Amino acid sequence: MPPTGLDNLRHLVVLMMENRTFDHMFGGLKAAHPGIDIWPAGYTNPDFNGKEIPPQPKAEYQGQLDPDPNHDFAPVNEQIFGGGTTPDMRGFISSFFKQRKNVKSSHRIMYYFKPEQLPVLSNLALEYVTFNRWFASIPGPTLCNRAFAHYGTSFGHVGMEMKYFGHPIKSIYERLNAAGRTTKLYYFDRASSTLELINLLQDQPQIFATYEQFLADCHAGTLPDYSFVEPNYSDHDGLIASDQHPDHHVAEGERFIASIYMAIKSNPKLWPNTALLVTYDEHGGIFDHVPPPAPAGVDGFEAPPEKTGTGKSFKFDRLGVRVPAILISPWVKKGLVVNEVFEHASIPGTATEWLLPGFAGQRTDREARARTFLNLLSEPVMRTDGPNFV
Amino acid sequence: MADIKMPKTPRSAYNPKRPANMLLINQVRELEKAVKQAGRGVKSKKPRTEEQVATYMRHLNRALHQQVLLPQTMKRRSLDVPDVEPGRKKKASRSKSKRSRRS
Repeated sequence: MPPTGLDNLRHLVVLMMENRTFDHMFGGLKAAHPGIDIWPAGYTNPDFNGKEIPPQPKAEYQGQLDPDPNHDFAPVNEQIFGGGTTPDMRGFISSFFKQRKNVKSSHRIMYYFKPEQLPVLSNLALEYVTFNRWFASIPGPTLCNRAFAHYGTSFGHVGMEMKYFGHPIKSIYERLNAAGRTTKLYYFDRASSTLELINLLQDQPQIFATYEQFLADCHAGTLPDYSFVEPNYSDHDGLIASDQHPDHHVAEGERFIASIYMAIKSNPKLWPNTALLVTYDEHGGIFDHVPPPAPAGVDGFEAPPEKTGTGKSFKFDRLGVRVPAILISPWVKKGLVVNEVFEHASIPGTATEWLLPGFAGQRTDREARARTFLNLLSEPVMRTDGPNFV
Repeated sequence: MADIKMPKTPRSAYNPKRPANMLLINQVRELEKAVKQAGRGVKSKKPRTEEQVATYMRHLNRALHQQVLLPQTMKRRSLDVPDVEPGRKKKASRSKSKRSRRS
């Protein structure tokens, strides 16, 4: 028998932010919740002079991570392996140092936020479910990682390639549409755009809508079965970027996350039957102490050495760096911390398992084996607490 | 539970002149390629700031929508994009006057 919350579930919403790690965003939460897994005592990264630098609670909303910390495949490899063969997560400072050649500013890659700086994310983590082991899908940049959230694979790409035409593996949106289910990819506006427009444009207007429409759909109670929301990626037309990509202002991202959450929660007909997953596409070059494990399954692709930039091919047998992830619903246990491994392939995997049971179409073994998360809606009675943000 | 105050974003955080990050630059390049492949002529631009990227992306987006989704009779062959590249004030001024003549 399914959990009561899952039985009531009508809408799954996924919000994917940009380029922050678990330790960086949740580093100060351990005092409030001992189950939050941050670095152990003694974890440091060496700087250019060989001085060992620990994580420090000095992160600011803006101005510290400029230039954008490198997070292409080869630099991330260096960040994870620190120049050696063991994934000891000790190469973040040396990688960042190479960009400005400034020892002092290279230490900023080890900074983390205090919980009071991030009242939205921190309170959501403490009130709902926090994933201690949600990893980016690839130790690389944005687009290949976001592809995993849409397709369960990046089709062999480890960089910023964007086109996936003609492959038998369809996006979660195409799968759902073909089965008569409803789905939308809400992007902020046309000037910010969505990274998936090129691949799925033909499916307008079934798939795409804007943030403004998301708010209207929440208000009207007309959310589709499955929604994916993208933040604003640039400062334009008087609007401040809300994606939290360095060096965009992190507080604006807090406000954006709160706006999505409150749009759902403030509609009493929507809140009881909606689950919201908030996560980040990749780590953006910022420190985290957990070595990425192997994914649950393989997708059969291999990126050649000229694409990885490491001199070696990559068989998609290692996940990316750990990112924040929170599951929000009145049916989850307050303050639950989950220690099993998840990755972005878990997103289409979960939506497919829930909305297309017995799915017979093509998808990767990796997505099929990725752990799903709706079993966490397990409270016998719906919770009536939960924070409101003003 | 008591209401929780969100952090305020200062207006000083707004910086449309900020150099565009690689994510934005890549997205522009891919959109540009898609517009061309859809059969629409477009002279490549090299936007550098976030505001320039946003302006260009809005036009590319509109063009891609029109080229792919509109009926054949309503499609246009070339894209009229305002000058978003820095250091080309003279050209910008000419194209502005052209635009105003058209409108």
